Amino acid sequence: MKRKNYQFFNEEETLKSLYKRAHHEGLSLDSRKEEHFMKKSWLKMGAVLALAASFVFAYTQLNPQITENEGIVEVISEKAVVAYISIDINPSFELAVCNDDTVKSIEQLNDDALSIDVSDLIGMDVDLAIEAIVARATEAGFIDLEDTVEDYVVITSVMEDGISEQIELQLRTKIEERLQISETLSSVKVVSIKADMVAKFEAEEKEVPVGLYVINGGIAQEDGTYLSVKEVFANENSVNELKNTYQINITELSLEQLTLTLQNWLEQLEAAGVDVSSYEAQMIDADINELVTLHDTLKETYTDLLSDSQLNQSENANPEGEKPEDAGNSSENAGQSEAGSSQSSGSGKKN
Amino acid sequence: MKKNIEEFETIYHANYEIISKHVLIKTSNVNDAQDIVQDVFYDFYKHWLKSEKAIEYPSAYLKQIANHHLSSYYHQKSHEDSSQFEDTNLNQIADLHNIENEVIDELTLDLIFNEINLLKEPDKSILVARYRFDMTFKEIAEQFNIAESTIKSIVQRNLLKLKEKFSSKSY
Repeated sequence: MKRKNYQFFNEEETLKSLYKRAHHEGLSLDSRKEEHFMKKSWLKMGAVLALAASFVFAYTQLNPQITENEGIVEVISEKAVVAYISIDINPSFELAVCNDDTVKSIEQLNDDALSIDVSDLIGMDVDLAIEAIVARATEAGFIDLEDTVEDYVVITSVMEDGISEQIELQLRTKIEERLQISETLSSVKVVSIKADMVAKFEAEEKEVPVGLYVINGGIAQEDGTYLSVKEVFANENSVNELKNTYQINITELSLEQLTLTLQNWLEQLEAAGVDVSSYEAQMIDADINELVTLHDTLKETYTDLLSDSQLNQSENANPEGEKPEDAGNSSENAGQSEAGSSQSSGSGKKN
Repeated sequence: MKKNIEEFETIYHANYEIISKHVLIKTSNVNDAQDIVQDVFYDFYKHWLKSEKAIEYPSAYLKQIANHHLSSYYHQKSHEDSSQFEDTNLNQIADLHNIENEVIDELTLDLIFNEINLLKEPDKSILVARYRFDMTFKEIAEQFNIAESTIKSIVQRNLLKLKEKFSSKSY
């Protein structure tokens, strides 16, 4: 049923209406010529000023300086910025990248980001800087090492207009290679998105990190806030829509990382007296999908298993029904070490 | 940079279908969606006229303009409760494929669309999605967040009405 003249969403009719409307409002290709001629006389004056300014500019570039204002750390040098790399965990950072793939400046985009020192990352290769930022966010508790299955790091790359494909490819390859070999970055799911300067400007207007802006499809909630990285990626429909709209790549957790997380939980359960043999049996020769299923099952039942085990222990210790003082303390400890409790404020984990 | 209208029209034709489909799915209202699509491409045209450089990612930019308009639209409209749909009888859906072929073979596209135009929402949006944008029932169900069986039931009910209406007429 493919043709152009449908009654609904008629392509040709819509175009005709568009041109009519433009003509009615005085917009046309011809009117732009007037603007162009008016600009010419200003260009000559601008050229003279530019020549004078270039001498001053050249002098200052011989002495690179590092300046630091709140939230922005940068070095003034002759290197041109070719791209912006936005890292959203929460916290959120924006790295300005030079043509030699080194970091020229880092903007800390929210209060959580200000709590992490990044001044020593200036001048570093961008892939190493990304790795360092993720590592420091983990140390600060923004990524829960005990359960990284639901932790995402969004890396949004925005190339400056007019940058060659070769430079873009070089930068992209560098980052992708680091994602493959870095132990830090393979411990979390990394979402790589390619966006453009339009999205960056719009995000800046709304005072939102561009990565967060993009994954929300540019639409805020009713209260004006944007869904967090975790909230967006918890919704399969949102993820599919992102994949349809942007060039997006999501790395998966390695088998090793998932196995480590599960083993950690099983050890804790075993220490609390829970029989974990059936879970251990499920882990033998399990592939990544089976481990994810086991992870989800264990996460749901972890607290119950722990509580049941401690209850049984206290009953065995006090057969005549005396008040189990130790059981009360054990319950409190179980609450603090609850699996998947990435929301626990004590660890400083934020969304 | 010298502007060539063919450049704009190339972008327009390359993106019209996908933007229209996107907006229809998000609004579930054909008339409103058509208005929004018109506004989206008009805003893009204005930006294209003023821009000195070539727009590097026109598709993504168009999508963002669409989302801005949709955001405004949502603020004005209230979300319809999907429980308005009747319960479906799966047994009635069995012959849908045959009915579709029969109706589409026998009636002209213009006739079908004329009748679709008379429908109320959401039936109208669903049939436009099916016969204007060639979406599968599964796609429509996923995008409109309605059970696939309900979608099929709606399509079948309306096709049967069409068949009945035109079986007594000469066309």
